[in-house]
Amino acid sequence: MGIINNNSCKLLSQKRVKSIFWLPMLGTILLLLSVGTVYGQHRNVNGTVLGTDLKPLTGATIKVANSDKTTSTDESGSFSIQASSTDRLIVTYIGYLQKEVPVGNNQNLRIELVADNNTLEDVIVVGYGTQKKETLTGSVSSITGEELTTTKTQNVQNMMTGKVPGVRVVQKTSEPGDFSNEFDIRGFGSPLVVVDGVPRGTLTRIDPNEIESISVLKDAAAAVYGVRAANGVVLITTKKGTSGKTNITYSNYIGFQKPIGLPKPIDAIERFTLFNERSMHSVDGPTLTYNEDDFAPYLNGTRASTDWYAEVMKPTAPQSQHNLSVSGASKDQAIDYFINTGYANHEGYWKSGSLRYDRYNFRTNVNAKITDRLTAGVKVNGILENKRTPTVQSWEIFRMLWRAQPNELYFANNNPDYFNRLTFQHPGAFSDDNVSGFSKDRNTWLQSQASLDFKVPYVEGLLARGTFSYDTRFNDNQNFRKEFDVFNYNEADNSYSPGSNNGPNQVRRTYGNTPSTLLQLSLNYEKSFNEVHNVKGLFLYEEGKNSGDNFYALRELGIPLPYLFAGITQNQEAKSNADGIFENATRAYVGRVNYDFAGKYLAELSFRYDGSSRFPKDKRWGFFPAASVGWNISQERFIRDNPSLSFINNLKLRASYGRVGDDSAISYQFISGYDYPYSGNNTALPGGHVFDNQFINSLGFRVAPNPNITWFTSDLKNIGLDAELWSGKLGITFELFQRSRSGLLGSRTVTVPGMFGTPLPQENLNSDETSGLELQLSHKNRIGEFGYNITGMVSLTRTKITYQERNRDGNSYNNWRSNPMNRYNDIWFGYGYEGQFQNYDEIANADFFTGRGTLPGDYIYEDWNGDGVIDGMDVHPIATSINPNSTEVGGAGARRNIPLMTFGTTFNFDYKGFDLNLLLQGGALSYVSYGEQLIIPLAFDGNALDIFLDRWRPEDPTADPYNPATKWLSGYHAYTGTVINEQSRRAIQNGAYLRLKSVELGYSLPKPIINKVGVSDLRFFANGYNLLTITGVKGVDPEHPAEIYGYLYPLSQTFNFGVSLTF
Amino acid sequence: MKKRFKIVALAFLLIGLNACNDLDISPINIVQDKDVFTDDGMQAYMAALYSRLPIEDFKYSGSENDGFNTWNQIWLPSLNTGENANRNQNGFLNPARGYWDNAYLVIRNSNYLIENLPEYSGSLGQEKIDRWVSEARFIRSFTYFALIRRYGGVPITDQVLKYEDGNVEPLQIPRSSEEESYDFILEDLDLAIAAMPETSEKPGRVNKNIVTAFKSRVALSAGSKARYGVPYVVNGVMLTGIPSARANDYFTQAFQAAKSVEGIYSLYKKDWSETDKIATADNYANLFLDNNSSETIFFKDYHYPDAVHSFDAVFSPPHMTTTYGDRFNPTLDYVELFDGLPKNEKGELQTTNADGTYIVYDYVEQLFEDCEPRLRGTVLLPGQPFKKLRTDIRRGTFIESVDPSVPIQKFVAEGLTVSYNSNPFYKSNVKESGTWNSQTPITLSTGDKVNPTGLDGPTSAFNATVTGFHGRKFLDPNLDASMTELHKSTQRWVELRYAEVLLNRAEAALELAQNGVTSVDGVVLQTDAFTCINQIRERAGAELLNSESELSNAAPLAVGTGVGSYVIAPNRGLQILRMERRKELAFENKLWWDLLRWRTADIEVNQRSWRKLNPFLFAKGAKTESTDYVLGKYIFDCRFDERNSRVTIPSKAYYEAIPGDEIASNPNLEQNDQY
Repeated sequence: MGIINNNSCKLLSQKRVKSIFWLPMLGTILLLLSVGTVYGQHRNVNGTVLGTDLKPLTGATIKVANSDKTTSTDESGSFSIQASSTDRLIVTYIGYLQKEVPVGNNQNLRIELVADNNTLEDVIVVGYGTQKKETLTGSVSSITGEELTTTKTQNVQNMMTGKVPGVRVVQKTSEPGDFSNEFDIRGFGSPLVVVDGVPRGTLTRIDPNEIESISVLKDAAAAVYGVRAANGVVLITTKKGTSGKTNITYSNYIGFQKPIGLPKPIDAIERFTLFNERSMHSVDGPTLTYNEDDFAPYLNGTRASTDWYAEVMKPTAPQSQHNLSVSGASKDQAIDYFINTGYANHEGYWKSGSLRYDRYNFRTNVNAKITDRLTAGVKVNGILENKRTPTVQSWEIFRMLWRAQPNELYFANNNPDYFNRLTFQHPGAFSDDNVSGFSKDRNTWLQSQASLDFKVPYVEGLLARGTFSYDTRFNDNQNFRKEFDVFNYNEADNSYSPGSNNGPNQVRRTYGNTPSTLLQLSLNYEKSFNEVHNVKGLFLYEEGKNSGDNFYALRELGIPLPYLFAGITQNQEAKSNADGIFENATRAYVGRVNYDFAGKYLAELSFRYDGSSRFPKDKRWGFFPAASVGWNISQERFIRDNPSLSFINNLKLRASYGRVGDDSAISYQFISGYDYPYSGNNTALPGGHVFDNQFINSLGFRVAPNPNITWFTSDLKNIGLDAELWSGKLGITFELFQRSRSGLLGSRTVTVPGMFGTPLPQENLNSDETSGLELQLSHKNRIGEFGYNITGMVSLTRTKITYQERNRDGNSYNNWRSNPMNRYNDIWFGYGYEGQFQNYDEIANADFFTGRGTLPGDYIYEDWNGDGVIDGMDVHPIATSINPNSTEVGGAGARRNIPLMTFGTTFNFDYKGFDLNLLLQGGALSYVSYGEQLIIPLAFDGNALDIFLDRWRPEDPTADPYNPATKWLSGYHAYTGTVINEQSRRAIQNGAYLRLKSVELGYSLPKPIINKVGVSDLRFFANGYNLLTITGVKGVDPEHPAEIYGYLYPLSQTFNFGVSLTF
Repeated sequence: MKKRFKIVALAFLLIGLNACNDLDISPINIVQDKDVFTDDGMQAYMAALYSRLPIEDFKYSGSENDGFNTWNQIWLPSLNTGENANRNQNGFLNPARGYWDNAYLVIRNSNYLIENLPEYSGSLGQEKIDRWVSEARFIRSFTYFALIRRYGGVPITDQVLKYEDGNVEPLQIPRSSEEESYDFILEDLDLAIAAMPETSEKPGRVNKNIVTAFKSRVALSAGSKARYGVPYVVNGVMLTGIPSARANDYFTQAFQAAKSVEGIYSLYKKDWSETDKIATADNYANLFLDNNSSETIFFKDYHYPDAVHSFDAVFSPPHMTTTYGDRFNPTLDYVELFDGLPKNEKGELQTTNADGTYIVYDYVEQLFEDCEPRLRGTVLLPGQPFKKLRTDIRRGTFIESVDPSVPIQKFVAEGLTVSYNSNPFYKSNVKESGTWNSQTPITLSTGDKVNPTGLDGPTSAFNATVTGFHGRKFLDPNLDASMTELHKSTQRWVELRYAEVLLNRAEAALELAQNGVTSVDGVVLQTDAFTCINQIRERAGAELLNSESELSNAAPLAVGTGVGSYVIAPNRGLQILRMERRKELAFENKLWWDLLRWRTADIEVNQRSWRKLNPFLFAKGAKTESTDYVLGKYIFDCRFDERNSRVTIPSKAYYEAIPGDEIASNPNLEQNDQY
């Protein structure tokens, strides 16, 4: 029971942990003391057993502990049994948690059972099959569709946040239609996503209402996916029809979003003030840039600051989702069906309405039993999404908004016919698709599969299965760039001089598709011998083909219409992106045998033999084995038969080992030749050269080939403990894991001189090791009509580089600094921080060198080596981050603030018709530093963010800051003009956070009432997302990525209201 | 039942038989030699090599990558030489940025062509093989030359290096001496010249004459290094510097190469006029824009939208572009080199009377009315028409109560760097605006309004000129201001033109003449140098040299004693020549290399603060005639850069440091001096 899901809280409320843990422990001790003492008199004990909604349960089993006496309840839920007052009764009923009740002196017992949402009898989806939780030996976490949908967002990844141990989700942005999360399992990297048995990358866009369950394979259990499983596997199973009755369910929610962690640019007076501070911040020539004449119009009200946010953004944006599903089965269960349609809408904050996302989901899952032995199934899924944005990306608009000066007008001379020409780009014009054009992304996924199951006659337990799937994704982009003018108003002659922006008018259409097929043929065998030897076997052959093709056409426009037909012949282009054109094929053989002895001793062996066209011929095939064992200790007699240990419902130890691979980065490096055409960049090194006024495409010189290149391998090890005590009052799952990768691709760029003249091919050179732990605790109880369960989980993961091809260093300090080997890959080197100079005396008396420009409020960095100078030799480990010392701005190589430790606690309460779900979630061991305007006020002479107003500055803004008599006001930041050291502990902020991720409060109308009008379920709910965040990060949200200098579209807080109706 | 079973079994079997993917799928967009060493394939191969040539063009800047192929030109070599000053950079920067890997990539693939193309002589014919191999030799030489200019002697390889079994030793090639490196290039160029036809296969590709003209540049550089370089020897190899005994040999090669393209190319004089200074100025500007110019030798073309640059957007004056416009600011030091301007005995622009009061001009263009046409063709002067607009250059405006007829004393004494506001008269009588594009105009008693500051600066802050001038060379005058946008420009970069060849020839001739060689191939060198310089001066509309004796080996003008006296040279003759190179080749990314080969950079640019010219308007009597032109009386103030920035070039800057990871990965590679 509850091993995998729904466990108790941890970390967040220590008091609660204590009370949950210690009280039952105390009880146990008392219980142990009482063993073997007085036995009371036998008598007749009567009682009733009640289930959900206090309905009497018919047929519940009542057993007197340590005896053969059993009985069951009658139609009114009543029973009667012989027992003494010291006896305990064990009550069981299918679908409910087992309960033990001391008889005591009660004559009439009232026993309420707690519904068990996931009993041990539950089956869990694993690779190419299912398994009972009870006999599971691998590390697999799962979550049901209902648990998922307590969080309401457009992205299923975000709905998993904090709910699945070992799954780490960092939401980068809440931009409509942007799904770029950090999502990994145990810090391994981007996992393989398998939907209904077929690898499909659509985890983010699936309609959550279609999901029956999600399983996460974290260890050797993933090995059956071979060469693609190095980062773990996420298995999604979609719903199917079950009951004999047709259920039609309509559900929706409508809500609004508010940005969180969005710093605000300052107004004109504040900007002038900071600007003056910066120009006064000069030892050689302090000057005031803005004088009283400049301030006057803003002070006397003749001019108002431009509030760029207010001009361009709206305070809230709507979102909504609607679903209609029909599910059921024919009376004889021969045909079952699940049909769903969903619509989701998500709007952005631009006032222009130019940013919005719409998605339509369609799914039909039908199974038909054709004969007793033959079953056919068809699953068809369609996803259609439309993302509409202005032609520039949102982060660029935020950059413009933060740069735009409050003393510059939105319209030139406030005349709405003329956009003002700003020092930088105009955020209003660029955020409005009516002005600057739009980009429409239409993605369509079609996923279909047909399967036949055949129970082979004459061999009991043997099932043959064939599945064929065809998936494709169509990508269709229409990018319409519109030219517009901005104007410079010259008051001297009352003229407006135009400047063209964003021209020429141009439309670009891109079209691509990526069809793939997968065929799976398998034999499954399952049988018990002599009731104790349980054997399961699987043999599977799989082959797949993947391909991709695309092209685009670009035309400048004669008439500004967003269609190619409006184009002119000059400068037109018809090309394709060569990287998106590919074809590859795979073949694999998979085998697996499970054996358990009476559910007590468990073992699983599996292998996968994988072949891929992406490797050189003699390196094409790889063998990936795995094994795991388990010991169900609670099934041993010494526990089962020991009454003092009867509080142990389940106790299992398990261990696994497996080898998997990763082929993702090979890109034909074993082949020599040329890439054609070379994909250049017209503003940098172009993909060709101009001869005779014609642009001639060039070749790309390939790197020297490496005929030996192959996938790299990962060895996964896992040890786990599952326990369930006191009928679910305490559930524990604890896991220790390690992944060792070897043969990671690396280049010998450093050890081979650059005069070799070509980048070297990658080789299977490097290795690393990721290890960590996961703990999940759960608590489940019901007191009267009040039921609750609490599940808490915490995961910790770190990666150590065990070998990395590198070069010697000149001196021992540098060697220590830059040798990554046997060191965590997340060590951030930088300067320590000791505080701020409080006054001129401190500067004068500092025991290390201070420049003559130093002022009170300036940051004091740590003289780590104590040599009296702050320089590169004082750099030492100060924090952690992924790619800690990277200078890349974006992409996977950029510095990333991903917590090494993640935690989450789910609280579920229900009382009568009300239900309440809370999710507290957070991360720790994460550090972040931002760039550009988030770290420097007035960067590019633009504007500053409000966070920089809290600063050191002279009381008298015109006072010479270098005059020791100047009086200072203190603040968080240094005096404007002191540029913080980006690599210092002061600039690097601790990104740990705890937040109330989601809250859902629901009320289900009493069934007797609604049933009368033919409605079987009716629930109203209110839901909130990102409601409260506790963090030390200044200005922005702690999850806000450091990438792109921190300009990404912010996260949102959302409030949703909805209804769910079934009839 | 049984029948059904058979059908199902058959179905499974059929699926099974259809299965078995073929895993031999070759990648789609990878092509092989047999497709490449063909007529069409070679066009793509050549495009790959030419596009990677280290040409210091519109996309060359020290701000990104290794300097090449970056659109965002902020840090330019011209900022170090006194040609240009801009607000983005105010000190020395090393314009070369570790150019190494990309050079050897070009060299490797040139070597590959030279090694393997001859095997295809059967299908292609010997003539094509000769032509293409020669082009590859040129490309290899051009690339090695870029390396040698930066690093001195470099590792030389004319083979496709092999890296097998992880054995790096064959790759650890030591540096050749600078002399060997130059000799390798010069020999390669000679081989190319011998095997090439006179005309290019296509415009944009090289031929015998282009390679010959380029050779004059290489040989001249080698000669200068031999004459002026300081040898740096490690383990018996002169890594930088060339034995001085070789100087005359290299200068002779330079002279011969330059002389041999005479008659094939000529100075562009299509619109030149002996009398019309404006026409002569436009003629000079047009030589860069006319794709049929007889002067252009080697060039790099652009093509919208596949290959573009942003020179117009970034370098046009601010009110003539939609973006920056604050990067092309010729210094007053540079402007003062030209003829036709009033100058004092120091050679500096004279804008004050003998009593230290400002000379009052009736309109802003008046000061430069008689200037040498080449200056107007290179620089946009105050009030100069351009792009159907006019440059609007004005530092500030005197309030209406200041009468132009009352003499005004110089605001800040000569040579001081203090701000104007330290002068109380200035502070109370001059209006200025910090930004050019949102100004509060001064309303005059006539009701007229004038902006305090010109739309193109100069301003003390924000994006406008910091010198009082904007540049003109290479800018497209036909591109409307409102259409001057980023990533839209496609005008040609002229990498090598006949004027440089003439100057190379004159310099080689003079170097030889002053060092014991009076004639080469029957040409009297002193006379030839004189003729070449006068050809350049005549086309420029400058004053001609009177006699060849002016190119004497007497002492040069001492610093501060006349026009161009800050140009360091060993004697007067070479000082005149070097000044001429400055004036003619400015803003073409050539002069930085001149300062290095003459070894004068650290002396000449020692604690230099570039000078600027600030025009001031009298509001009294002024009238706004158009948005960017105010007719009124002006004074001009010459002073040091108001940002108080100084430029010093360290002596180690004559060579760049070999990139650290190269030193680390090749134990045979020695580092340059002072690094």
